[in-house]
Amino acid sequence: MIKLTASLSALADPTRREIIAHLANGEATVSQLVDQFDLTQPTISSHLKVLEGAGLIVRTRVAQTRPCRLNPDGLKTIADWLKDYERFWQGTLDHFVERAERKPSNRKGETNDR
Amino acid sequence: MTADLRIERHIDQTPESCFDLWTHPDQVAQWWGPKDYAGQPFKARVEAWSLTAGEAWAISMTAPDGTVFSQSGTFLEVERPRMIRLSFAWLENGQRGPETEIRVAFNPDGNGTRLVFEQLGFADTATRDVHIQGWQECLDRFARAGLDLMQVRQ
Repeated sequence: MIKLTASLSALADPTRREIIAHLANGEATVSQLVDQFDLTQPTISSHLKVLEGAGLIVRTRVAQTRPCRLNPDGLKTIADWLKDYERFWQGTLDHFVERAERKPSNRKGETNDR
Repeated sequence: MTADLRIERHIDQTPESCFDLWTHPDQVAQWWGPKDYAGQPFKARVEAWSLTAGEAWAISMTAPDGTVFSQSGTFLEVERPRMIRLSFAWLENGQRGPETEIRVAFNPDGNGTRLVFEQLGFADTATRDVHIQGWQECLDRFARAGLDLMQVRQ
């Protein structure tokens, strides 16, 4: 859950979401991202640090550069969580409807007292 | 704020009846929680439930395999029979997860009700600016990229 919260916080920032979207097209170096986003290198680097800390991207080392790419495992944490939510509520609402439509006479105690 | 999850259901009962089933704690305990894959329902226990804006609610659920899940939050708005809003978070290992907002509307639909369930973006300050639509776009892109990477690995 701590990891999930970190991922979600990392994605709370629109620039970081754009970086993620950009990296979905393939890996990129810091200088490529600087050109792409028209932001300073320290700004890009600090965003990358947050994304890396949240496990959403990984940075490799190729000669003098450290290209960034998406980490599918980090994303999976979020995707699983969203799927869990949907499964939970779909199931709960099915249950609710089933209960609501079953023998209304058994549901006394539902008065207007609120 | 963009809705993450929107689920609609038609129910052959009046909005009043649906609202009451949703909001009376003894009734809630009977339907809260899904069924497992074998069709066995989770058992819900309502631990706190004060149907007043600003007051807390808490439910623990026992899965058919014995695992206990806890959820809690605060009622944000209660308007019988039209709608309720509440904050919602899972509790895991004693820690509250990210908080979302649940909104349930009971709209008249012929002789019955159209229930509109929505789960809205994160309410806590750390993730307040998250728009879930934004993540879903991320997720779509990620999923595609993830797939590509997986193909490379194999």
